[in-house]
Amino acid sequence: MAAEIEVTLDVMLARRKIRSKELAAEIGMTEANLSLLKSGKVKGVRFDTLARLCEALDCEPGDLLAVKRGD
Amino acid sequence: MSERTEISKDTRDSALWLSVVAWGLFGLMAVDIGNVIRERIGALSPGGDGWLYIGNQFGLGLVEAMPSIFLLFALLGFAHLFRRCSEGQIFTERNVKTLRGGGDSLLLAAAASALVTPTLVEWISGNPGGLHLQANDLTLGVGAMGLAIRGIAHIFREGVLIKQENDEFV
Repeated sequence: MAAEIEVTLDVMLARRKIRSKELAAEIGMTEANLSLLKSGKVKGVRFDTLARLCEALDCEPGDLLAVKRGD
Repeated sequence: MSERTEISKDTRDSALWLSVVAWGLFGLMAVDIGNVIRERIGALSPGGDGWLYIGNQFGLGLVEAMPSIFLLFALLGFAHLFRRCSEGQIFTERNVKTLRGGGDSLLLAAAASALVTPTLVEWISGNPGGLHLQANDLTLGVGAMGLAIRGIAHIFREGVLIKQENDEFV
């Protein structure tokens, strides 16, 4: 199985104690898209979206994404 | 994911304007088709024509108006297409279908004008035998436009696929 990228946004949200709704409003994204991103049901993330997420959550891209290595 | 795309005011206004023009042309053409058929029926004698004869005249009027009827369908499709574009629904499967339908209608209008209508009119008038071709620059032009719009629909489909892929990025 090939390696996959896992979105760990929900972990960071819990650490920062921020609700999805608040984050979506802060970075100017719809709640629906944020929910898709959290569940990993998207093909990719734009760099500007990633930058806004990092800015709002005060973190690095690596804190939001992880590599899930296959066997 | 939404099918709507953020569009500029200019694009929205242009699409809306084109939709209004297409509806206007649709109305004019519908009146013209009505006149062609009315002239046929109006040629009847006031009193004693049977329903069968009236039906035949109505049918003949429809045959004569056939190219315009296909153009009417094309205009109807384009009016809807531009209205949807003005609402931000541009690269959608529905618009591809409408464009393809518009192209087909223009091709059918050209075929009807060049071949089907002249042949049927001759046959109905009691001159059967063979096909009657009446192609001119206008019918060829309409046919070429139909082909071009079908080609644009094919390219538009690629745009729909690109948009769908793009929508999967957040």
